[in-house]
Amino acid sequence: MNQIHIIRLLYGFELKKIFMRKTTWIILGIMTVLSVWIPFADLSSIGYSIDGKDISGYEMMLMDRDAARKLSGRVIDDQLLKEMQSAYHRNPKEDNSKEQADYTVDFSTGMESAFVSGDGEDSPEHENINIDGTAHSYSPVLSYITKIVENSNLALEVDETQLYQERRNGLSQTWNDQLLTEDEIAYWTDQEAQITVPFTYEYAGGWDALFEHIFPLNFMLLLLIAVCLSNVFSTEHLHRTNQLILSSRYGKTPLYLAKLSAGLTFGISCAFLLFLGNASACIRLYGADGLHAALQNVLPASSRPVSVGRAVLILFGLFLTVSMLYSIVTMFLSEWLKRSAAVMAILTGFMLLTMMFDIPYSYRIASQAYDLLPTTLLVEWQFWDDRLFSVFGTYLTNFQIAWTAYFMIGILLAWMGKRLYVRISRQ
Amino acid sequence: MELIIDHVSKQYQNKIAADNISLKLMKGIYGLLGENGAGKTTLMRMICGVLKPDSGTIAMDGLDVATEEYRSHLGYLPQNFGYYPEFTGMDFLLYMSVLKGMPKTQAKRRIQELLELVSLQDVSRKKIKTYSGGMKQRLGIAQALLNRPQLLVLDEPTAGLDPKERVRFRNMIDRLGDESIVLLSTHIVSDIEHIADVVLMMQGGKLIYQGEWDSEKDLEDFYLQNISTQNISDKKTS
Repeated sequence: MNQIHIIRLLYGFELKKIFMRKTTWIILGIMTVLSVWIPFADLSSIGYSIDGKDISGYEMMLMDRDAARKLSGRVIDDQLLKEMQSAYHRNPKEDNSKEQADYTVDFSTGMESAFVSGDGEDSPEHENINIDGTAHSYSPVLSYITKIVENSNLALEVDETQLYQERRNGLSQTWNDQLLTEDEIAYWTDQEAQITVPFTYEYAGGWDALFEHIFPLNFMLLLLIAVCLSNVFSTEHLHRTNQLILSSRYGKTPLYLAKLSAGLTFGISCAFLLFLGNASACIRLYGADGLHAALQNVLPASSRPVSVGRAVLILFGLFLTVSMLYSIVTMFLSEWLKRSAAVMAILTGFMLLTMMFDIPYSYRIASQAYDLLPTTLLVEWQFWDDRLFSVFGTYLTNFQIAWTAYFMIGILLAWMGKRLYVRISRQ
Repeated sequence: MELIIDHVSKQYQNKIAADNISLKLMKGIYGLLGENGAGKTTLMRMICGVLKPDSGTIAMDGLDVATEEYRSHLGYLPQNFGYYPEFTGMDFLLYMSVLKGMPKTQAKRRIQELLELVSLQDVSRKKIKTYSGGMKQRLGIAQALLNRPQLLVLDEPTAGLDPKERVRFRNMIDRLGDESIVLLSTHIVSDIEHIADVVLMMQGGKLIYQGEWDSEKDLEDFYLQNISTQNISDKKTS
């Protein structure tokens, strides 16, 4: 039998070992359900009232979706802005909503902020907008304009020139905050020139939701891989099965490759499952519209001249690459530390640390490197992290360099893991 | 066929587990006797390529212990090791047969033979976690014999076996000595006194006796005598 055939047979056994553990099925089931549930949870946690009638988040989303679909294909120019503004101005400022949420985007951090007002009290920072027939049919555009100008009052007054100028101002502020060099600014200015202005409004609610969910999905993936793959190598040491394995003919390099391939297959399959589970739930709820729309429809602060569909593919590709990296790191630690509990402790500690800790833009190198970590990279606001990496005179974006770095780190760790595994024990 | 162990030493921090051991093993059964901690397991693990000696070499017919070819002739039953509890006995033997590079049809035939030999054919489809200690040990013996090894290393193979199984195991090993080098370690003298062609005795990491054994003689007396003599000599030296 040739070695490829042996590796293939061993690969089957190694996959069997992973899937024979009850823990694998339990956590896989929980994470799959969660990935599908997230979009529904978004809607179930909020309620509205229109003209004294309570409506659910889901019903509100359906109304928004219908309105947005009707507006799809309209150029966001003076005409549309005037239509929207006059529709809102025809209705006096009366608040008949129990709870209404609107949000803005902070261009410097990318954080979305929700302003929730209730009991009919007007807030100086946020104006409640009456939702009724005509006005509501323009609410998707209003929300979108508010995202750009960061102020709902201004959104009801802005004209086309001012709108796109506000966006440019926001970009300049972001570039300034991110300490971009002249060359980087020139790069992005060039990219901006490829984006058609004025924008054409396209509804892309499903993909917008998917961009938001990639953050929790990423942590779920790490947790899932940490639990299921942390014992791929350690269990052989712990139960001393390694003595049998390492003394057998193909127990070294072929078995290592089989274990590694099985772990990678599991990790990538988990990424597929979580991403597709979430994407199908988002599409089921919001629809698959807007795949060909410009990314700026969903993320107006991004200067990347790509379609929503391409951005989804980039995100999906990164998610799969990250799953490979998580799998290799987990298996390397499993071989190195020889204790699955220690592996899980390190990975969950890393996950929690990067959730709570951030390095400000002012520490450019440290912050840029930190934001390349797989737990900090897969966030929608990374689409407007415009700091570039110069490699032999060519500028690479954060996603491009992360891809390359993850592959290189993965190969390096796989090689180091093999060295550890095949080395004859000295203890 | 010969296994040459040449000036092999191994030290763990302050303890010398194998002290400059040299041996030449040919076909036959070698009984390795020694108290717990004498260095038997360390020597066996080095012979199986699981543990790296600090110095010295181990080779069989010119093949170094670290090579794949060497391992292809090896069958090893470690002293204490775990199984995959969710695997069935059959799964485990199939897995081991792949690791040993056996073609599938040949492996299946051999597995059936061995399951019968170790009386596990009725439970081969049951998960290993349901097996008793003795059944696990018999499964371990079966995996060691899968590839008809030229070098069979058995570390305390009778641990966990009942008296009937012990006798059956001894008879099985007796036959294997005609075709292979069988190195069998134990601290129970009766396990080897009737089947070993050569007796090796270890104490404190040293090989204190090596010689052919006449099964008419009382090995236990001889062993105890040697061990106590060595203890006195060690005390005098220190």
